[in-house]
Amino acid sequence: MNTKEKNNYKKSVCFYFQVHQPLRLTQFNYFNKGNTSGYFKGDLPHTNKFFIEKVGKKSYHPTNNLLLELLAKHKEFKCSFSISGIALEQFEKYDPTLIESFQSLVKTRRVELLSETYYHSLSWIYSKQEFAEQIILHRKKIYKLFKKRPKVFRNTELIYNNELANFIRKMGFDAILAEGWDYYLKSKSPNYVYNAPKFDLHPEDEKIIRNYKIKDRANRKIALLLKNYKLSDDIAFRFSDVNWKEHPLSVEKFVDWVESTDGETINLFMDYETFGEHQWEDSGIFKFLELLPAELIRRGIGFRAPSETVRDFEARDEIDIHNLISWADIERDLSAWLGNKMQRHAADQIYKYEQLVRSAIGTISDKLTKRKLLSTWRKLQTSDHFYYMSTKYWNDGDIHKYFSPYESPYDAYINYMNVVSDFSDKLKQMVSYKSYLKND
Amino acid sequence: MFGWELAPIVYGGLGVVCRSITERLIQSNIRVTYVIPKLPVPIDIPNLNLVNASEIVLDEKMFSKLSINSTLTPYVNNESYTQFVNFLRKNHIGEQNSDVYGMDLFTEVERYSYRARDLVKSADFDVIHCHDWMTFKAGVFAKQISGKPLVVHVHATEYDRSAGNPNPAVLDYERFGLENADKIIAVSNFTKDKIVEKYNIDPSKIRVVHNAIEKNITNSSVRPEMTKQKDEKMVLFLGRLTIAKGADYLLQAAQKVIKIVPEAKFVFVGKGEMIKELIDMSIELGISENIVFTGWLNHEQVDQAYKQADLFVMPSITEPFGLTALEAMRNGTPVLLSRQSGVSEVVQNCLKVDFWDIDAMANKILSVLRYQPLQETLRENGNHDVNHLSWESQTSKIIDLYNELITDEY
Repeated sequence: MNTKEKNNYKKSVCFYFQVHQPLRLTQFNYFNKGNTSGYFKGDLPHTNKFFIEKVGKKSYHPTNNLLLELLAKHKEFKCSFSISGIALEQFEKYDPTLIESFQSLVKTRRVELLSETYYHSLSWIYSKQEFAEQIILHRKKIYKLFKKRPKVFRNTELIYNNELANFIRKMGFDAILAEGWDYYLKSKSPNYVYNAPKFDLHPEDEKIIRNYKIKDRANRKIALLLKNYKLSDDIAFRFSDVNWKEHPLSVEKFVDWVESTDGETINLFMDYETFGEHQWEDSGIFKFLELLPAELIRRGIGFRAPSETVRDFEARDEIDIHNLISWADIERDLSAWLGNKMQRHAADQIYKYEQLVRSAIGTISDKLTKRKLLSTWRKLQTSDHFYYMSTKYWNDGDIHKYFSPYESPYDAYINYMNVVSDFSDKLKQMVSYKSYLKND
Repeated sequence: MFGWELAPIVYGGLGVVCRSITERLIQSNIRVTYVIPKLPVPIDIPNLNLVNASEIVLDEKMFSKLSINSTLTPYVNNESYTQFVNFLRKNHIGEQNSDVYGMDLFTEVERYSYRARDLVKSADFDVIHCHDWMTFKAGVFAKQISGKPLVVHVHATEYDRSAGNPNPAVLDYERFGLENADKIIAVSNFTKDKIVEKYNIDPSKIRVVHNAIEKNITNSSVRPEMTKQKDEKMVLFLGRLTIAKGADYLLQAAQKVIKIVPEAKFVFVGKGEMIKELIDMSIELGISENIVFTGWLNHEQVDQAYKQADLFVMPSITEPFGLTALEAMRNGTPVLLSRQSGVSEVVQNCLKVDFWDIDAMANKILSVLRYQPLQETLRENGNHDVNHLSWESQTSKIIDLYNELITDEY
């Protein structure tokens, strides 16, 4: 990120695009385990390879190319990405040209990369140790592929509270992203930089932080960037909705709204698949993105990536968010992943095995086996597995259904639990075999 | 309306559905003349699945019933009919009534149809509505006499009842009714497709009106005979033991499940021609100790069975609708449905499987028994589907259809 250059715009747009693809599970039937070639292939015809190729073709490749053009055309244009570790892994495996494409974006020095948990997990809720480890794993991956060290953190699905912000601050990050949900803003505008209030962490958590911090001296405060959900969702959710009274959304109209919105930074946070996958090409979404920067610049509105935004604008105030929030659904809570008994049980199960996994690893000498065991456990932590089990809007046939590879949330749970119980059987065998050898 | 005994029957869906529709029609101020085949005396014969219908009281101004003494019941086939009539004759049942029953099913259907024709000559009505093949000819006769439009309501086709080995004579009756009908009501898209494909009927003539279920739940303290032991797992099947209902597929899946969960009990409620074969099969599979055949149970016992079950399975090979799935859900029982069923088009909060996929069926049964949160979530959400379907809204679709027919050129 080129932060040296001065940016004179009094108001700017801060783009953050989330890139993530889960490792969907293979159908795992208790009665024909033999047919299973690994848990994470996905199912024919909709294998994980298929998804990467499909989304790559419809969304990632064309949008990356467009952004490259925009970066070349407008020296003011900037944006940021958070790319999950398992998305990167899958790109490397199924479409390495995607890695190259993201690398050329980062090379422009006007595209910032953010930090997140490698496995796009809910680990913050269940294990701080695991949470910190996954952040470091992701950090290493980003450095290896892009030679960048992120300074801004965003948690899975923008799950956030005061405690998390302070954990992240103490790890050494400068800023963190969250949903600009009205209930917590209490009539404050999301369009300024804020700080998270101080929060005393548990001494055990302080210990964990000491092992995983990314710089020696943490900042006194951590800056908070809040998603402008109205303007973000106009693009991400409503753009092609013909029943929306603003449809079709022209660039002029959208920039009118940005212009008439008070504040210094308009934080447009969205899934990167918005372009070409959630909003299809024929909706005009690419044309919209293509024309947006020029129109913003013409009206005197600039661009800042997250690091630059928190550098250039002073924090206005503190936003107190005690309970965990997220950017999902109208509830903006955790109910999309942990709303029903199946979801909570499945998540409890996988994190219950943490100690067993770690002790098994302690006894294994073979590095590859060790790594495979750990990564299998971690791949099962990806939040999408729990999202597929949501019954919240199941009856209304909405968005949850669209994203799920399963016929129903019940089938999602069954398949997940079958995999987890197979994994735990193998894990227990491994541990008891090892202790058997030890005692021998 | 040419229907069937308006009874809260647990032995098959037709009577239940006719009753619910008729009640709602009357509530909507539609006068119903209801023609039914009626046994001259109440008879309860083991193995023949006959029910003493409890009479229901309907507003006399709106409802008149024309009973025709007849030995027809909705689920007989030619063999079981002949068996039945022989039994009646041997025991001199019904002889005091002047009617003579047809020696075989088709003679009886003919006799019924002509008697019905004579009866409706004097009746006044705007639309004729008949339910399943045995009443089709009577319906067509009524149309010929009155010139009024005919609606035939298909709850099952001969292909469903026979699981693919149809009796050609029954097919002829069905085709006759379907071709002469002005409109056809199918209980599901599954059934609509069958009518189009097998009987070559114009799809625009067919309207799909899914069945619903009455909301009231009978709370009873009557305990069924197979009261569940603590910690025992119970999987429930309820239906006629015929090829179409797929009980044999469930037995095969049961064998796999029992290997993992030896305490699982599979309870089969119902009777039918496959009973011996199923018993033999459970012995061959080495699982007879885990299998219970209860025969038919009364209404309260059935509700108890639903409530005790960890899972209700409907493994039908072909199921035009499948009302029992809704009954189970109404009782808060988790449900595993064959995808080859009409009801699977209207319920979401259940598990589904292709009846032939034994591994998948076993996998899902096992999951419900092993993973308590799955069972609980299904229990909690199943009611949503049931509440979604109401006889009020389904009957109003039927009334709309009547109105279209009346305002047409008829």
